Amino acid sequence: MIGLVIVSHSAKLAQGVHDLALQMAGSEVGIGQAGGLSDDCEAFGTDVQKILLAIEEVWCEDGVLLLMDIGSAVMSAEMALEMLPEKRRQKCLLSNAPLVEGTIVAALYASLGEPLHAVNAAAEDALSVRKLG
Amino acid sequence: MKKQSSSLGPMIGAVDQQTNHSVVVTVRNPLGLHLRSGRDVVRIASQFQAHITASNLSRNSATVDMKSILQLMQLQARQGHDLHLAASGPDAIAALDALRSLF
Repeated sequence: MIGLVIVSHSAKLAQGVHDLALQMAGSEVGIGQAGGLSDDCEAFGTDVQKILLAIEEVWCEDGVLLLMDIGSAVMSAEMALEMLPEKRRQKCLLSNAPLVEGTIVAALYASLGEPLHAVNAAAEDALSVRKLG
Repeated sequence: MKKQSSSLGPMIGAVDQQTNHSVVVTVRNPLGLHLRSGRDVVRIASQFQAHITASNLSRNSATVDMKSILQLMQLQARQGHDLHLAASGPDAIAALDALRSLF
């Protein structure tokens, strides 16, 4: 079963998306979060070290999918992957999915035991599946 | 369940596994088919090999894949809406039996 990491500029947003994902996945899926620059929820931004810690926290051999909000969240996530040992980096994937919808979908399909690339494909469907039908 | 017209069971002369089966269910949940109930639908639907679809008869919606949470949410199904569930495949009947109990 893969792990997920939520990367957001806002600690509160990361926490909220994390809680939503838990509703979908139950407690079986490791869901880490790396939101904001500090733990006091005041400073907005993304922190490479926080992302690395979150990957470490949910690490599993089936892989880890990272879901980012926008802009430097993507760059920080890329930098975090570059700092990982090669063997781990190969099992991490950056998702192109929108953060909220993508994480909800990824949490559900991760809990069903789907492999990394299948979970990401389902999450990235959120880019094309229209909300209003 | 308020209403349930069913065509479950093999039709006359139809013995192949691709036979389509369908059932109409009415959404009873006051919150409609929301994210968490959709999660339960996907969890059950994913246990079957059958191709399973749904459409919202009350909205004249498109037909969606019941194994996709994003597509299920597109049904925008409120309490009282009638959903047409259809399945094809070797375990289609069992799939519909399991799914209709969720509404």
